[in-house]
Amino acid sequence: MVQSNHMVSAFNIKEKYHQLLNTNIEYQFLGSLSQSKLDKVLDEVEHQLNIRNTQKIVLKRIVNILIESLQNIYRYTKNRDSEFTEMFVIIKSGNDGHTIITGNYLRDEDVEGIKSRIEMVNALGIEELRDLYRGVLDIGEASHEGGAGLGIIDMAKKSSGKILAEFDEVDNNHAFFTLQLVVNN
Amino acid sequence: MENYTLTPTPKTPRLYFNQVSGDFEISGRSIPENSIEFYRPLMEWLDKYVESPGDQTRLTVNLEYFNTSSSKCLIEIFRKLEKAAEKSDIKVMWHYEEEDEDMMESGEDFKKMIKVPIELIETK
Repeated sequence: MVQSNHMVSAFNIKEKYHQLLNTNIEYQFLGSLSQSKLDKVLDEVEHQLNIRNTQKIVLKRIVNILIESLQNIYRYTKNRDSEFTEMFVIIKSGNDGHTIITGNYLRDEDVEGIKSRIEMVNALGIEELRDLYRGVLDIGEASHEGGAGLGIIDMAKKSSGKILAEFDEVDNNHAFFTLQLVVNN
Repeated sequence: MENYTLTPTPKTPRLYFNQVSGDFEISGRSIPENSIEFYRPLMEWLDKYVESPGDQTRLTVNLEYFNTSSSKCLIEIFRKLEKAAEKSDIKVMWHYEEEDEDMMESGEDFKKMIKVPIELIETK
């Protein structure tokens, strides 16, 4: 690998993407999300998982998680500088289930909020997540385009084990957020 | 007042709201990027309906997928129906596919949150 022309610390989305693309890839996408791209990704994921005879409930959980995460990313990036709108989606199969990975740029000021929400849902068991989901749904008036943290709670409910989050420094104002979840068979 | 109907798309459900018979239906997929905008006309329609509802109101919910922003709209729809409970015999029929325990749990969750009776119905 030729690295001599780059600063060692410089973040490169393609490198990150290719590092994560090792074996048992069921689906991969790297690009900017438009509304039609988002729909296409969901369609393709469903199709790929269907031809692999993925159990219906597992398929629905994966698609549900992707709907929430991709719509979040789309809303977040749609009015941003084109420099920071690239993102990726990877789905891998393992012995016990499927790993879903998404990666997207964040502004630095949004990192802490996301980190703390993920820490919060990771600390809760499934029944507590259901209670929290109902609680947020109960008080949350139908305000801004969805959000309110319901998405991450739902993703936690539908995945197994902890949600992994990684934040790479990109420049003085941006970080790259890699989210990883597992859906057991 | 006219019936409110909308044909389904890959991301939005079929909406069938018959104000004469009180037969309502939301079915298919509810995953629009902006659910609030999508459901707004229905909300307005329901506000009028609950003022003078039919004797009986039956809402069938039969969704394959719904996103979290749609779940906020669903709870709002149920709450609007609650307001008509004195004038109309209201019931929600929440359908879920046989193996889809998540959809069943969602129905249970809504059941805990609203006063309108929700019947969970397993489908093949």
